[in-house]
Amino acid sequence: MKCPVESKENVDLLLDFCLGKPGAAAAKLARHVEACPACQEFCASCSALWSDLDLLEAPPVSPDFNRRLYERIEAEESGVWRKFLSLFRLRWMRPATAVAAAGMLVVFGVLLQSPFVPENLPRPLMEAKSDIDIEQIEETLEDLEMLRTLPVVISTESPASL
Amino acid sequence: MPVAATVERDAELMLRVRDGCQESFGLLLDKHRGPVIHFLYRMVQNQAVAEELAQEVFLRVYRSRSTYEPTAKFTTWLFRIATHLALNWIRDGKREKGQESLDEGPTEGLVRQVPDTAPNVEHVLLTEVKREEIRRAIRALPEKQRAAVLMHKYHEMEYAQIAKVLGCSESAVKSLLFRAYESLRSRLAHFAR
Repeated sequence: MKCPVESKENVDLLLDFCLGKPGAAAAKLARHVEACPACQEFCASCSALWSDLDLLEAPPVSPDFNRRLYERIEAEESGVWRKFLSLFRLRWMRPATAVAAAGMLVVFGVLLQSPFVPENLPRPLMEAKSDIDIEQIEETLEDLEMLRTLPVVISTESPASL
Repeated sequence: MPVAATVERDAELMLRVRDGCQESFGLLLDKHRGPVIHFLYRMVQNQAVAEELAQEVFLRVYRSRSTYEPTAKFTTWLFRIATHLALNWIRDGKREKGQESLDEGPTEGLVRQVPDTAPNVEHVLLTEVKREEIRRAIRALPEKQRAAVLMHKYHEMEYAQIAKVLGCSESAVKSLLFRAYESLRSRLAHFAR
């Protein structure tokens, strides 16, 4: 097989082999490494590096990690409604207010054009007049005229002459 | 426990979280909190930041519960979120904004880990120096190489899973890892002498 270190092929297999991870080509690699100084050097330094990296320990987790997380979750959950409402206000309420205002204007305009008249209100005067006979008006006017002239007649004729 | 059974268990727990079971979320948190924080700690090399990022990871998992589908390993998803957050944090350069860095010396947690039965002060100091050099060497790696090495070394992930976490091909992961280990080997070669 080609030397993985020199050819840069199958280096992952060599890496796994050096780190003690069994692979399909482990037996083949073992035979090669036994006879290859470059791969032996690579494996030795990889093994040393691998154990050196063990020194990089992580400190223990803070005991209040869960509590802080649950507090954040709770705060976020209680804030969800606030956010929802603010979204509603911001995204829906503004256009809704504008639409409502425009709608009111339209309705107002329509009402101005055709005013609403309730049925139980008295009929308009002109409509009632249309039922009055024109002859009655003439007769009324004649009666009034007669009434106006009546005292003159009465004053010119003495009671004795009646 | 077999890997498949573990995966199934995690996904099952997450599906229960989706259905409103808070206890299942607690179980997932207890199980994966440590690995996630340790991974993030090694990525950002700051315990406070690591815990803050881990909080964000679990918060995002919780937020996504309603749309969760077990299409991938739960840990792949978890580490994908964690890696994404860590890489963003590193790229944002937040570590330079007054955060307590490991450059300034060992943290309280690390000091506690030095065994009381240490043979002598010299040994303890040498170990600490070595540890610091390892930190520097890891910090010097390009971000993706760093993430790949940490998942490979400390979380024993397969190439395929690392590839899914990093969103690249398996061969790309192998190449990343080889270059990363080569870089670490050359930086830390003097330890072997």
